[in-house]
Amino acid sequence: MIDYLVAISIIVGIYAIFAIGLNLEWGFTGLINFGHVGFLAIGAYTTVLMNLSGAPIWLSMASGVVLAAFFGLLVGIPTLRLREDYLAIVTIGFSEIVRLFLLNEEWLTRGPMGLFGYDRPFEAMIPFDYNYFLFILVFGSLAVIYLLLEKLVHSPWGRVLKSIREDEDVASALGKDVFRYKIQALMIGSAIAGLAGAFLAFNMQYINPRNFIPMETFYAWIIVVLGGSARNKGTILGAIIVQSFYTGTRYLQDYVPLASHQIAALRVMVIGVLLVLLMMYKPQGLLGRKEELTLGQ
Amino acid sequence: MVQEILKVRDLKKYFGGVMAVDGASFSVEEQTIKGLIGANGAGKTTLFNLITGYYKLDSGKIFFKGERVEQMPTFKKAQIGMVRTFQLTKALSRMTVLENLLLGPKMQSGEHIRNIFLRPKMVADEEARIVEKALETLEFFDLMHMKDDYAGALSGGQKRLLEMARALMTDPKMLLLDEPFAGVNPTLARKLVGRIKELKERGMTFLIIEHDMTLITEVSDTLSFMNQGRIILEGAPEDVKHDPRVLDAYLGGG
Amino acid sequence: MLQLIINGIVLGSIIALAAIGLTMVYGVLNFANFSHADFMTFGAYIAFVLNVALGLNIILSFFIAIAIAGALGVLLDFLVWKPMRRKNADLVSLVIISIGLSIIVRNAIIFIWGGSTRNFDLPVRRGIEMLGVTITHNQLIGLGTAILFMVLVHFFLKNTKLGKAMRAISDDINLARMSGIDSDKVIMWMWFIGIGLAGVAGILYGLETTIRPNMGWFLILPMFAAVILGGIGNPYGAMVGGMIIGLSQELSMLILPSEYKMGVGLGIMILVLLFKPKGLFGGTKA
Repeated sequence: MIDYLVAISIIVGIYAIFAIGLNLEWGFTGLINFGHVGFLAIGAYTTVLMNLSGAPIWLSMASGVVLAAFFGLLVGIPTLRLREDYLAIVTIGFSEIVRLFLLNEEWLTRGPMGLFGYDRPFEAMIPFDYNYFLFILVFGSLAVIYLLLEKLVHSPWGRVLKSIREDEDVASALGKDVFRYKIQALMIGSAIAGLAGAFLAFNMQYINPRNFIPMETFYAWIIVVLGGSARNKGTILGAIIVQSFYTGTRYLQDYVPLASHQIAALRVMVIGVLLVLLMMYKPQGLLGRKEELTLGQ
Repeated sequence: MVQEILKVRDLKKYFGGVMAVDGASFSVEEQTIKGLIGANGAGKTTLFNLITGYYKLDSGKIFFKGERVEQMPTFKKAQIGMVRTFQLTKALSRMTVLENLLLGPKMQSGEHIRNIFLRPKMVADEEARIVEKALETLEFFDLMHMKDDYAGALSGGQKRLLEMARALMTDPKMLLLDEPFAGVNPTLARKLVGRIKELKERGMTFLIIEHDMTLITEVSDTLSFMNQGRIILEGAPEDVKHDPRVLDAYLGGG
Repeated sequence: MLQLIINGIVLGSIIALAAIGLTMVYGVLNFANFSHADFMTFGAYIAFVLNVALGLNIILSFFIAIAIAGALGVLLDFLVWKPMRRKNADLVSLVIISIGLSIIVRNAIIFIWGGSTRNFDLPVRRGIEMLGVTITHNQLIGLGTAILFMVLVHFFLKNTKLGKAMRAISDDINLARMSGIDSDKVIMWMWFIGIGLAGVAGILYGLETTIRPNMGWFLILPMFAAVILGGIGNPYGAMVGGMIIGLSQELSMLILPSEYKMGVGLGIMILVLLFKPKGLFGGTKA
């Protein structure tokens, strides 16, 4: 039972890290990144491929994080000077191109067969169940990221991000280089997604392109929206709720007379319905302050 | 000797086929207050947007402190001292009133990620100074009691004050105010007029769009009258105000 | 080569047709509607049910299906978009809601009809061969229908009161309101026509390829590329944009593996954003 809880918690932690990166982009800066999963994939595959070609695991992880940030820069350059929704369109396309690349460049990624047999940090040195160590590693990282982000968003830097979210014309009228801040937010958010990717790879011990379908991005979205945008604590709570929902409905099949593909579709539909209803009726999320609701109308 | 801080030459801007600004030229001398008047649709706000860089101009020249600035992005103009407010107020709704003001000061060390982690003391000290200044400013603008409220909860007039206070926090050389008195109660509007004059004495320059003729005549050193995308008349407020063309635009055309 | 051009024209006309509705919504309501392509799929499935399960004639199925798709567009305007307009919702919320709707529609289709591919019940006829090129019967039908509908859209926008009102709203919704246009009514019709056209495109695409739950979703990117290329809010731009994207996708196979076809639209879109963000023909929104 404990083992099972630990295993579930690791997934919660990984999704919390993944989503907290998105929260910096959307919650604080107002950037609509619909291709967050692309950065997760880059982090995971870079870590694994570097390690499989002989690099130490820590260096491999670092490369995954840096490469994810670099792709954040590349995606940001053509889009972040333009209207908000162009970023949404380009990122969703970007993440699909990443997935297609992983699927088709078999010489590098073995395509649909996926990759396995890579190291995990300190695996040889851990005398107990590795999952316990991974649990500590994931939650330790989440804690560090949480603290660093809290420090950042409560600094003058974070203040500029929020002003961009609210109205970027004001930010530039006050002398802030809006483009630079957006790029920074996107790069940091992507780097965090890259790290989540590395942890995902460690947890699964086998990665393939199917792990990185567009829907993964929207799990992060529902986590952030549920928790209330611009609330890092809320994001962590959101990750717990979404994962509980997934774990809780996993065995639905035994009780409901529906085919498994129907149950899968139903579970995803719930996410879509929640996204629509929350944005319509409770955009401040579960943790958001109520007074925010009436603003700007 | 009098210095021109802002010089605009033959600015033109078309939207589709329509000429919004049609060869506007004028100058603002340093440490003066210039009022810009004209009927709705005369092109005043468009002119502001061109000067501050929100719109790309089709032709013409803009000099700020002697330097050509047509190609300079908005935020750089603000950094060298040209700051504007907006006709449709832009409060940053989901930020508190105090946060709105704290955003103002330029080149804050805490706006750089590396300083936040490497020079926390410097950032904290600077932040303390900024907070102090912001509180003083809030006091003046009668917004102190709302400092921790979301800016989105302010009334229309209060948002206008907030915007001006926020712009002042940047220590601008020149402020471009787009209808700063609209919706502000008369007592406070008078007080603002006094404050603007005081800031001028301390070296600041103003360009103000305003519809209230009494206030704009009272505050301005010179008035410029804009009609159909051009500045067609400039001079002492009393003279401009009584010019038949101005009377016609304000009374005749509505 | 010639074969690729023909395939590209057929695909392009389908993208063009679907992109008309996308660009109209974008121009009038000012947001990127990510659910648009899933209504293509919806239209195709409805037609499939009428044609195969209920055994109706394909042409009758076609018209009923597009009417149902259009009606769904109106229903969603009533349930979702209109309340959000009343609240003056920001662009970001609308975009997120649209992606939510897209997830719902796609998975509802999987829930009801499963994930496997389907086909219309049509007699297989031999294509026309000439100069070493094959044009299938379905391609001819698809191209003909698409062109017919584009011509209809043209006459609608140019000659009817409603069409002119739609263009006026797209140019400047406040001005249009002031001149007495009932914007809610026009927007309702815009959804009917826009989603209906997406339905048409979906059916034609299903005829051309197969009917499957992801068929629309995979076209959303080329559709956005067409819209941005043609200038947001510009239906003619979207038609030309769709043709350009369709042709480029097919012709890209000369130099790229076909798996990356989808990337071509993205590539073109990024170039447009970098160098001509208002599109080739200018739109109503910058």
